[in-house]
Amino acid sequence: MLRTLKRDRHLVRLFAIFIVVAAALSILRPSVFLSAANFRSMAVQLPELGFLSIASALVLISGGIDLSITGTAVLSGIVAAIIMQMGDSSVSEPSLLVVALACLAGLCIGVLCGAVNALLVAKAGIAPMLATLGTMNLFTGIGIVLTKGSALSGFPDLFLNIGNGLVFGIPVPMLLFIAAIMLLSFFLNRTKLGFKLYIYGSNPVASFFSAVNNTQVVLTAYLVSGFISSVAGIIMVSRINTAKADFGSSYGLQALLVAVLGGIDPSGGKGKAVGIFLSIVTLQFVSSGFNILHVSSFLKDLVWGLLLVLVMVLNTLVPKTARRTE
Amino acid sequence: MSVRSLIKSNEFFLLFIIVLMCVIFGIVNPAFFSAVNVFDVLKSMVETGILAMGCLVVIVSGGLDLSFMTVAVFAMHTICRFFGEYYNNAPMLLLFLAGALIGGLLGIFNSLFIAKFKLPSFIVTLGTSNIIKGFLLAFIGSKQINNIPNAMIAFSKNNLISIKTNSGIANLHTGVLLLAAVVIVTSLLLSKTMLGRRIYCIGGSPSSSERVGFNNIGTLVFVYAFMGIVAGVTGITHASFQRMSNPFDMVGKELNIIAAVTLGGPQVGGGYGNAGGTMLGVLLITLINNSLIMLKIPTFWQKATIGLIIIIGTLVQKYRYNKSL
Repeated sequence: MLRTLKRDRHLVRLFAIFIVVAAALSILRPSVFLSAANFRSMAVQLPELGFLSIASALVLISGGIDLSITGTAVLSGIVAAIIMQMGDSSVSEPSLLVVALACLAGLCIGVLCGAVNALLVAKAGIAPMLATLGTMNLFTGIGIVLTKGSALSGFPDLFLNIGNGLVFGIPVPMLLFIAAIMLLSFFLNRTKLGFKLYIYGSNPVASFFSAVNNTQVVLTAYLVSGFISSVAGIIMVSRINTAKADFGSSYGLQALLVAVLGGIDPSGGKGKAVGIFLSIVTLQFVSSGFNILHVSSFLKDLVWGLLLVLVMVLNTLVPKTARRTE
Repeated sequence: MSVRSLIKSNEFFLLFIIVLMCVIFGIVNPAFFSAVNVFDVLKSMVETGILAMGCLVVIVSGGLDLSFMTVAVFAMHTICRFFGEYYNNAPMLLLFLAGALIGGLLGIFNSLFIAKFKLPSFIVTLGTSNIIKGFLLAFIGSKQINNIPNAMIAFSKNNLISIKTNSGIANLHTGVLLLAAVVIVTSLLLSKTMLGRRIYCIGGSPSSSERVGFNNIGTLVFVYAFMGIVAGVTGITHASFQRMSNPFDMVGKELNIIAAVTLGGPQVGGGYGNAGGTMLGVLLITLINNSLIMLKIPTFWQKATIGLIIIIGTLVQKYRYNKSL
């Protein structure tokens, strides 16, 4: 009972921070912040980091860590880009088939990268931090080799719609992201595999003796993480119409920050999808808000770090008082 | 006893790999063995090696510090800015001490959350690295400083040995003495002092360490302060080598150093590791970085190669560890 309260407390605290940030920004610059244009721009920027945070969170809940999500994303984007540029030379406006094939290839690369990670962590038993450190360098490196270090650009309009299109006024990436969060929540709360993920993350030994197929759990975590990273990568390429190997390299640790701020326990076993959503929205508000207020973007880094540390300290301090009143 | 022999053989194995690599590189490009190249490699090892020593102590204590790069950059940029503007003729020693002081203070700041609030070091230092970086860029300066103290520029030209060779003048920079000093201090600290044993103990089992009566909090504060001091010194050295202070430098290389440390020691989590093994790991990574250019491998293959090396290296180590069980 106390544990649920504690988890809820984190979400409650996070929600409080969200309200404070949203209120502050609405009061300070109501005309700019509360405009449709602002919401649209936030809804375009948010999903890239959001998808990476989901990928990061999945692996964190399983008790591991995935530093290679940016590598996977970048590599998937580059592979998709190369396929589209291959088909480009013959026709003036490449068909839906080529674009679909390119996206499919990108997603497959994501799954493949996830599989490599899963093999190293589950089968070879290497510490996740080291394994994903190596694969991050490897995947990004392959991306650099494929592009010879330069940027690829100029993609068909059909593809650009993924990152820049609007449906009922809401950017496509945002719709995809909301769908992903809902799927994640369903997976974590209502499926057996999601439940097993929590069990394994809390205590791998106990889960082993509880007839949970540990290998299957780890495989799922990393495969899905890779898949989601590749979605992020494709959206990234589509939004800026460029595929570059070193784009978004800082996203890896930022995604981690979002996940942990959202209530995902880095030692595994805890975390809710709605927490991730709240966390990324809050941080995006801070980011966009600082832009609007013409505050240095460096201060944004500082505030993000402060929020993370603050929430973690509060998480440690508050249960102590709760116990005393019992 | 068996684990100790594993560690010992781990170092011999690393040494074997390094020798093998040197032989291969030498065959492909005999210039590899030239004095110019050897001294070059040694100079490249200075920054990486000093930072690796700090990381080693943190990893031995069972933690992981992701903020050391930002601490180094913070110390570097702050010292360069203030001494550059107000006290341009400060002696090098004073600059090093000031850098160490700033680094140490930031390290203590880190340790507050890790030792007192018992938060996981990995996530906390992720947060504090953002805080430190944001603070530096927002309040101290985000522009490159070219007007660094004279002593730093003088230091960058300070060479131990200068040999004239066919391909140019081979200079062994004094920085290697600094590296040697840090390595010796770390090695003695870990192996010969009670404080060192306490660090290993915390890394092995924090609860046991408490029950035995060690002051966990004090030890952890020292660990992170040490990392901070080391990072500060590295920052000053970096600015000296570059002859300027760019606050966007160095960040992004943290993971390579952590890779070097973990390649050089058994990956059993906290409680294991020593200076010698770590230096071998640093040497390996530096050799790879430097020699890819010598082998005429295009620079854009570097990242992939490093990644492969880390993966293969850890696989091999894991295989040998499993075999020994």
